[in-house]
Amino acid sequence: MPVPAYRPLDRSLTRPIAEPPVPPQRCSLKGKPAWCAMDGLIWIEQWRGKVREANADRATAAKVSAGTDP
Amino acid sequence: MKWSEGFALLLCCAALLVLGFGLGSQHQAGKDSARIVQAESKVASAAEDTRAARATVADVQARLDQQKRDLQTARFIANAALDARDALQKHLDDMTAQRTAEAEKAARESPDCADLRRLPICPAVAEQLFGAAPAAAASAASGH
Repeated sequence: MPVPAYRPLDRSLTRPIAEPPVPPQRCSLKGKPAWCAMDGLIWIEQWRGKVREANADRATAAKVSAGTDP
Repeated sequence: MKWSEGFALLLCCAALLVLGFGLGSQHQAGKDSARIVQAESKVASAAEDTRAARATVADVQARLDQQKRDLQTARFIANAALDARDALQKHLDDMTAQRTAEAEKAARESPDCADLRRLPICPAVAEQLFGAAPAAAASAASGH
């Protein structure tokens, strides 16, 4: 029988997660600076990291609030 | 009346009196016995109630103790999870940095990816993804 141990969530679990920064413009298009496709793909990898951090915090929040498996 | 008749009458009265007493006390004894049986039954019933109540209290106490232990375990798990949180986030951050570095390295080292490193993202899509270009935003802010 799960026993709830409710208490306020730690601030570290509720703070907004910062978005990954926009990459620098390292390519050029028609003489103007532009973003490279590769940097756009790297940006996806950074977003994936943010999702993993968010999921880790969700799992921690589940443990902190109910003491059960997330 | 002769003295013998009087004596017989007296005997009869005495006998009736004794009989009356006897019957009366027998009746009283029957009532007392019923009361005793009733009281004993009540005592037994009360004892049974007491036993049941004690069992219930013990059961509730055992459940409360179990809940207390579960609560302590839950708190222990929660505190451990919070203590591990910062290290976990740092680890995930490092993993992300490692994956992006590896992807960039692979793109640099593979000739097949050279085009990808040079290919610019068209402005329409880039604006959707990243917002206005820093140069464009700067010139818009300065009014040019």
